[in-house]
Amino acid sequence: METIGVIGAGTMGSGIAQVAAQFGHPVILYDVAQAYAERGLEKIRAALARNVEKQRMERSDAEAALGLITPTTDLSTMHAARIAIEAAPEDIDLKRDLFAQLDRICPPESILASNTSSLSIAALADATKRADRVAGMHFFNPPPLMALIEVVRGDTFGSDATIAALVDLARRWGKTPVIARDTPGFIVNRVARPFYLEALKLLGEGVADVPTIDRIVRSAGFRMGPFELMDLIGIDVNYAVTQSVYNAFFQDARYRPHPIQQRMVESGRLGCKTGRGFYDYSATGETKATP
Amino acid sequence: MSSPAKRVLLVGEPPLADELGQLCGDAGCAVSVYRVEVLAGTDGLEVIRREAKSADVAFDILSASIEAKQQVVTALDAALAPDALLFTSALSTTATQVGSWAGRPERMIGFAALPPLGKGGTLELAAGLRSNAQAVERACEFVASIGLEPVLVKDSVGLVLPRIVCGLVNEAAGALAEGVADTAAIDTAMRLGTNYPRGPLEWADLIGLDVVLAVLEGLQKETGDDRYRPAPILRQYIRAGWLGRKSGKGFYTYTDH
Repeated sequence: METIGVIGAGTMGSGIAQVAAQFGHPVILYDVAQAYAERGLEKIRAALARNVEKQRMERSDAEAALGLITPTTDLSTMHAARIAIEAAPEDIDLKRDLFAQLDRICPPESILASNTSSLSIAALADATKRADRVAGMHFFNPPPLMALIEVVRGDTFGSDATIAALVDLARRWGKTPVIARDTPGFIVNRVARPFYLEALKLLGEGVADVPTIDRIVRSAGFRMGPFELMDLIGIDVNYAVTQSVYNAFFQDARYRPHPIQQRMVESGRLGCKTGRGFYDYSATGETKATP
Repeated sequence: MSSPAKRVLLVGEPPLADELGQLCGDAGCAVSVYRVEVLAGTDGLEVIRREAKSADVAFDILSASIEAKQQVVTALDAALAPDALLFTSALSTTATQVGSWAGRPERMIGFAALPPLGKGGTLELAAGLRSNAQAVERACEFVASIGLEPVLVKDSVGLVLPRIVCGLVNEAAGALAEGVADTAAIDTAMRLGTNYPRGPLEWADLIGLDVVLAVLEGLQKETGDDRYRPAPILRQYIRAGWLGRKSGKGFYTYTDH
C-alpha cells in the first residue's frame, strides 16, 4: 500500500490521515511543531476510540490504523510519500513555500495534492517543477464522515493520469469523487453561496426572522436551515469563504457579502463555538433565537 | 369557510397545480384543476370565469408569463363571489402587485412553495399591503385544513424558499455553462458536500426552468440587483423547449415523459 503524506495536522489534516490509515496506508503526518502533530494524532486516537465504542470498528483495526501514522516535524520524511496531501492554513505564500519544498523532497513521480477550498491550484502548481502532477483534492469536514471529494484539475496542466490516480484513491477510500475545474470555490463553495447570502438578504429585508427562515428551508428537506448551518460552520469561517469567492470573481455582485455577517463577526457572535451566533447556545445545550 | 366540503379552483403550472389540487382533493374539497394550457383555447378565460362563479377558494399558480397571470387573476377576481378567497403565486411578483390588478385586493393572499409538495409540507403565505386581516386568517385556516403548515412572511418576490433555491439553481447553471463540472457532478457535489435534499439542477427540472427564470427575472426587476441576473444557459434551454420534467428534457432527459 502506498505511503500517504499529510501536511498539516489540524481538523482536516488529521481527518484525512485517519481515512488513509483506516484503509491501510502508512501515513506521515507533518506539522510545524511537535505539539501540533501530536495533537493531531490525539484527535485521531479519540475518533478511532469512538468508532470502537460505537461498534463501527474492531479494536484491533483501530489499533492497526493508529500504528500506521507517524507524526513528524521533519518535512524531508515526505520523501517516502507517493501522494502528499497538503492541508495547511489557507495562506497562499505558506502553501507555495510548502509546494516548492515538497517538489524538492518528493520523488518526481509523486503527486502533490492540496486540500485548499479557496486558493487556485494553478498558483500552487506554479511553485513546483511538476505542474502536471499537482491537483486539488478537496475533502469536506469531517473527512472520515463526508463522502464527497472534489478532485480539482488545472486548466493548462494536471495530466489525465494525475486526475485518474486521485479519483481512484478516493474511490478506494469509499468516497465519491467529482472532477471540477480550477475556478473560484470549485463546485460546492461556489454553488452554495446563495444558500447563505439569500437567507441573509431575506433577514436583512425583514421578509422573515431567523427561526422562520430556517423552518421553511428545513421543511423542504434540507437537514439544516441556513442560519443554524452558519452557526455550526462558524460565522467567521463562512464570512471568510464568502469574501474569498467574492474577491476571486473580482467583486461580482452575485457573491457580495452581507453586512449582517460582518456585524456578527465584529460582535464576536461566531456561532456554536462562542456560545452565541444567530441562536443562543449558552443555556444547557438548548438553542434559541437571539433577538 | 367552516363548511368542510369546499369548491376549489386551481389554475396554473404543473407540477404545483396538480400537487396542490391533490392535497385539496384528499382533504375532501371538490377540486377543478386547469393547467396553463387552458389559456391556449379560445374560450379558456370563459371556462375559468364560469368555474370561478361557484368556487369558495381559487389559486392562481402562474409565474412564467406575467401577461397570462394578469389575464387569469383579472378573470378570477371578477367572477369569484365577494367572500371567496383568492391565493396568488408570489414567485415572480408580489401579492401587492397582483392585488393592483384586482377589484377586490383585500381577499387576495400571496403564497409560495416548490415541488415536491406533499402533506405535512409548508406553504408560505404573504399578505399584500391591501389584503385584510380576516382574509389572512381564513387563508391560514384553509391551508391547515389541506394538511399544510401555513407560515406567514412579508410580501416580496419569491418569498423565502423559491428565492433561496432559485439562487442555487442559477449558480449551478452558471457553473455548468462555464464548464466547472458536468451536470451529474454538480448535483452529486451539492447533495454529498452540503447535504442538500437534491441537486440544484435536478430540482430545477422539477420546478420548471421557465419558472426558475421567472423568479430570477422577477427579483432582478424588483430589486435592480445584478445578483439575480439569470445564467444565459437557462434562457437557451427554455428557447429549445427544455423546461425540465414537464417537457421530457431539461438538465436531464426523462424517458418516462
